[in-house]
Amino acid sequence: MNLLEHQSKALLRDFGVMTPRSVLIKNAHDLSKIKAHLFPSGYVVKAQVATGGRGKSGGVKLVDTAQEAKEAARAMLGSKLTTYQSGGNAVTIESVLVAEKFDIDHEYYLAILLNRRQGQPTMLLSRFGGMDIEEVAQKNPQALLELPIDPWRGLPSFKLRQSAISLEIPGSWIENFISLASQAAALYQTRELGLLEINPLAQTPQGFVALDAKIGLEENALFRQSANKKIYDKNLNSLGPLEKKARALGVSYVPMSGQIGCLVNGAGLAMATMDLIAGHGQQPANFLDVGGGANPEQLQGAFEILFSDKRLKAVFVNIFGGILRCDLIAQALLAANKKSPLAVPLVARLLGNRVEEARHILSRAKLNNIEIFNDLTTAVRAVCRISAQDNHHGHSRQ
Amino acid sequence: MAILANNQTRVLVQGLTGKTGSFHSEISLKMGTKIVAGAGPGKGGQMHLGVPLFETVEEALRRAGPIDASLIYVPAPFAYEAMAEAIDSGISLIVVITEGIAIMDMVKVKKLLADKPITLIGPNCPGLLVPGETRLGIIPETITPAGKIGIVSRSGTLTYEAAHQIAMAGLGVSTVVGIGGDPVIGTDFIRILDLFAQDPQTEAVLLIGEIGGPMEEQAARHWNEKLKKSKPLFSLIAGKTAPKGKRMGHAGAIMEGTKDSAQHKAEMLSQYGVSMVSDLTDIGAAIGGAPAAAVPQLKITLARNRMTR
Repeated sequence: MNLLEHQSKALLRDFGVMTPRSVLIKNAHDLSKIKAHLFPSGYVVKAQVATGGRGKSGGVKLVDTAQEAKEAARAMLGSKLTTYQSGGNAVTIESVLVAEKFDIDHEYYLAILLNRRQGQPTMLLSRFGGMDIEEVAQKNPQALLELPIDPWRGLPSFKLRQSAISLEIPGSWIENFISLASQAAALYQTRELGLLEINPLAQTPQGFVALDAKIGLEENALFRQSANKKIYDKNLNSLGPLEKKARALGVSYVPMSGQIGCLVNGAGLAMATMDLIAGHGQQPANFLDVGGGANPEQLQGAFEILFSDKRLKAVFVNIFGGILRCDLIAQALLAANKKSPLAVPLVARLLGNRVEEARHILSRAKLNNIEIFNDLTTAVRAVCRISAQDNHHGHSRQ
Repeated sequence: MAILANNQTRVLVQGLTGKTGSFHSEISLKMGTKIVAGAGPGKGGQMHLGVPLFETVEEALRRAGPIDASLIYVPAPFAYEAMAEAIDSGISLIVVITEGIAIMDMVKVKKLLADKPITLIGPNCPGLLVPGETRLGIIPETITPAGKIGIVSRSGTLTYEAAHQIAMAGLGVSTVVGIGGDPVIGTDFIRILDLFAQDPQTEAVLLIGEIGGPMEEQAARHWNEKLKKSKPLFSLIAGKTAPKGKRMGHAGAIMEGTKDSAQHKAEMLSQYGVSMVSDLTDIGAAIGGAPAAAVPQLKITLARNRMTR
């Protein structure tokens, strides 16, 4: 989970990294926090959304006076933002950060992330801050310094001093840079983060300042990082109702833009099933992995998530019952159907453990909009045909 | 022959008495897997499923040895200790089924493993299956008969689907290896491809990958340049429809840039000469339809690969 900018900066401040002074605006009432002459150097008004590319989409405004800052913040609050990184989806701006403007001498890039090639955390540094790091890596790979961080010994200062020289940081600012980079590494390690990115890291007359920051939590470490868990739980509230329900159940759910709702056991099989649907010309509405050993409660909840999704034209269930029992799937389906009735056709491919029992359970229930197959190809064709037909009807009504 | 384990492999289970460990060990024992000991704090002196339990791995080795492999079902918060203990005892094969282990714990485990002659498979994996011989983990044991196709995968049920299709095509499997869906894992595709290249029973390999990380491309390059395409390699990469920046079930299945997308991986693998299976339902047909003549017996690379271990 990626935190919002203001949450990320609060963590950085806790570890001694300088960030611009700011006020957080969550509603019209908060606008009074932007007092006249609050930040004499000027104001940066920033939409707090968990997606990149704000600057290019009107999510960041530079203004001179408190009055202008208020107006910009008021206009942003509650409005929708679509950026080139938000995958075509509009994100509602729930809060706005109004920060003091800094005079910038130079913009650098600093990030700490897991280098999967080496299997260890790495600090990335570049003299070219303020732009997308993939761009830097592509255009100018030698401009990107990589410093491995040892899980026990951390990052030695001399490595940072060497880097400061390569980055052409002016001599008088080297100590300041080393202390900031060490603090960032300490934050990453102590709080077990998944990602920490300061971009741009600005060299200003007052010292190095984290002008923007993005922190990702490492979800597998939440069990022993109680402070992270608190932030995580708080942020769950901003998810959609279906995603929230999935998190509470402990099943993996990612909403997508298509019309066929999917329920599959296993992440790899779930992804491959989505790909298969796309290969037949239709689009999946979601990724939903109930896992290899889902219990009845999780299964029923997962069906309820799909049955309450109003966007769907059809539901596709693909279960390879190696360990998971197909009869439990059938029972969960019926239980969910009682609570939130299935409104669209459902096609299930059930294979393996207790598949005959599952068929009996479903045929006794006499639901007329359910088809069950053993063969995956036949099942996918069936569900895609339904979805395509429905599209056609929808079209002719227009 | 198979890779990593066979019906003679003597197995220790760490976490034998837990729900998952107990459930799956019972199935494995029925199949003939030689589970000779269990280890875990507070369990010493007891028996479970007819298997003696010991307080520590060291004690198990001393009193129930020799032990060839340790299989770990210990819950995530305690898994680092269990792995460190197994590594310290020098057991040469460690298979970790546990899901949800903190990344920093695996970073440390990788450091502990450096330069040691130990193969650690997983975590967050279904383990190993040698059909008809042994089962270290949770792969359904009846899914496929023994045969000449090797399977290596980052996934669980997708692997069972593949094995099932291979069986339906009239073929069988030499060994199924699930290397795990986490971003930091003990053993990568390359090492398993090396082992399959050396295994006389294996005549072709299926590699099942997914979005996230650089492993598939590295493996394909290795197979092309170092193994000289010694045995036919088939591959399926899951996640072509996955959105960027979203974790798809597995901790490691997240597309962060453009190079770790399923499309890019499939393109790179094709360029290295890997036979891509584009559609989940085509696995059996693709491998079953491969002409037998295209399966050369390869002995030349054997010695050299053993050195690289």
